[in-house]
Amino acid sequence: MNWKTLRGFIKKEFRQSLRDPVMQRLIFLAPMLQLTVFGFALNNETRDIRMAIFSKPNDTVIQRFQDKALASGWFIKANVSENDPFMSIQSGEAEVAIVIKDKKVEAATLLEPVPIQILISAVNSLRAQAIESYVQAILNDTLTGNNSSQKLIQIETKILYNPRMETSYFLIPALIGIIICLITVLLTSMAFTREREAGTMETILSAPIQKWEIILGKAIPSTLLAAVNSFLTCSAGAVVFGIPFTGSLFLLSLVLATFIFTTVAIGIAISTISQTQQQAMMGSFLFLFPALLLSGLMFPVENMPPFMKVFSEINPMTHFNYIMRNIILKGGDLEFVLIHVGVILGIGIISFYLAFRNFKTTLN
Amino acid sequence: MSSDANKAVLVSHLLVQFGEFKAVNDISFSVDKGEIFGFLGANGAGKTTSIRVICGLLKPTAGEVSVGGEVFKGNGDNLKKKVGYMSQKFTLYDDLTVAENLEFTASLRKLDQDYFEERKKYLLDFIQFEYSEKSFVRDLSGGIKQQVALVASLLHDPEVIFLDEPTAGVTPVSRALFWSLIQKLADHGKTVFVTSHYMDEVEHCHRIALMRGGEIIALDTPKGLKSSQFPYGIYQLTAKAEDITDIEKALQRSSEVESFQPHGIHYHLAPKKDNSWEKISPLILPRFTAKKIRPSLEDVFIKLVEGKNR
Ligand SMILES: Nc1ncnc2c1ncn2[C@@H]1O[C@H](COP(=O)(O)OP(=O)(O)OP(=O)(O)O)[C@@H](O)[C@H]1O
Ligand SMILES: [Mg+2]
Repeated sequence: MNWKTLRGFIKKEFRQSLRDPVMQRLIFLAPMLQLTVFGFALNNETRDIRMAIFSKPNDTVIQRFQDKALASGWFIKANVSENDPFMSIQSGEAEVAIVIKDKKVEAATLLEPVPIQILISAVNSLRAQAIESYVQAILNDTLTGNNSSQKLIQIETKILYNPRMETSYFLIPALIGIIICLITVLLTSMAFTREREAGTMETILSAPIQKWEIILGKAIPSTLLAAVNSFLTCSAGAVVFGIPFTGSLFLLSLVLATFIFTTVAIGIAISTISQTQQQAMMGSFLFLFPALLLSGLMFPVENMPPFMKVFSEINPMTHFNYIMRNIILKGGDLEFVLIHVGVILGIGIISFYLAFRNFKTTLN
Repeated sequence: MSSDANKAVLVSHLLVQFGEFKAVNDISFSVDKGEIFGFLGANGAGKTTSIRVICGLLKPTAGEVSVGGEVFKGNGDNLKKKVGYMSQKFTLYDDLTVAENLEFTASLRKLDQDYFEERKKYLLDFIQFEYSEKSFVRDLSGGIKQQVALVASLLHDPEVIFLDEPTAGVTPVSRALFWSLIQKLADHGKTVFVTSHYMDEVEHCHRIALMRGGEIIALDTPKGLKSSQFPYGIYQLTAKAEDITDIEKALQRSSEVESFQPHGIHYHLAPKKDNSWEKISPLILPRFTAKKIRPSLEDVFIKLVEGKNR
């Protein structure tokens, strides 16, 4: 095995990337800036939720709930003109309606529980999720110590790991994934097309080099640069948004390394089937947009139709989000993390295989 | 095969097809060791395509190519090892220094460090490179860049070197300099295969193949091409009066005239037979001043390439 060509490639790639001012900014500055700007922009918490309550008069439990809700600052009282909860939501007067039909909550017994209906407008699904969490948390809080009503509420586990309900805890890890994916795929997809357009590809191929030498020669520098990039992005997440990276740093690094490996592989695969920079750019976006939309960040994977779920499951970003939430908020459940790392790795290996198969050392 | 042992390059019935289109259509030729072999042809004639096949970069559709006895096999690695190739497009990295560019090329060819340093020094001397090795390629002039690209393609000391339009877009002085390097390479026993659009510089080739529409339409020494195409020389005519339409038509139709074509402000006339000039000169001399000149490659090219287009 002769490593001269591979070493030469890596040296050259580093020289070129580190010298290019645009690259420098793209690799070192952009990720941190993007994270901070997007983080703050998307991070505006769900507030001023218009809440309407339809209950029997003088229900002290519900009264307490309402006081707590208003005091939290998240809710305001909705101006409701109708006496129909459904209509109030439909007209947009209220975003959430709490409905207790038959009797007061305190009159509930084990045999005859009082059903509490919560109607939420899901025009904005992200906001709806937040509203649901808030209402349940406050209801839960109100009902604690009120034995007779304990059975009425089922508390979702989501709230458990994010007691302060800070959206940035969910958002920032996902943003880190997006930024790594964006930069890595975009940059590596140019790997061969830049050489093709400059005409230097022909010179490279005129030497008796092996496929693995040129593919690894492009992949290794990209991987190392992306690693530095992701480290900076994570640091920015920790410093600016105070994300508690409670999990083991080793696990986190393993996940990042796998994710970077796979995004580099995807970029390289795109590069092997593109002839021009424009095609590479198009190819990258054809991957990036669906990957972003179907990563569970915009729409929860559970709510997707089965057909879309398949796409979500073969999307490395989905698995990255699963893992990052698990690591950052729960400290990392080893088995869970390893399963999803395995899936990401598999996607990467398949992409590398495709790249390897598509790449030709002749110009045919 | 015994006579083939002296051949640097052997091409027989080479066919390269892109879909239905025949970029190279059944060409055969050979190049001797130590020869400067020129490929001349208009845009799209198939020069670059032929060279790519001989360099192992392109699988031929049919036919056989061998370089120093090696034939195209697998992914062409065996040919790639034997040849040096300077492609038509720019082949160096602008954002790397001269030394870094050469280092990268050496790594592609898996040269040992010591051997590389020795070759680099020898070749930079060879082109009389007088800048710092640490200069960025983007800061060099076009002519110097091409010389550095030549050094890069010679690093692994190939037997045959292919230069695809090495002098396109550089100044006349740089062109002359580059051709003196080509000459020196041949003097050192290297086989040089070169393409060009410039007729004047192709005169330096030992032999020239003229390509048109994927075919070789003539192959000879520059001298041979001229004498076979213009056995009775060429007369350069300069019109005495403005309007010569009548005599122009008469000359073009005459059975004593091989060709009569405008050439700048002059006309070039090639007689058809040994005694043609004696027969037609009484007709010509009252209207033109005439001078017998030696045909140039440009005349050959125009006659062969453009003549056949009619
Ligand atoms: N990969 C390809 N696919 C399709 N057609 C091609 C390909 N490469 C070359 N051709 C066509 O083959 C013909 C010969 O091209 P080639 O580059 O060999 O010409 P050339 O003699 O080198 O011309 P030039 O002087 O412009 O460099 C051209 O018509 C070109 O368009
Ligand atoms: Mg060409």
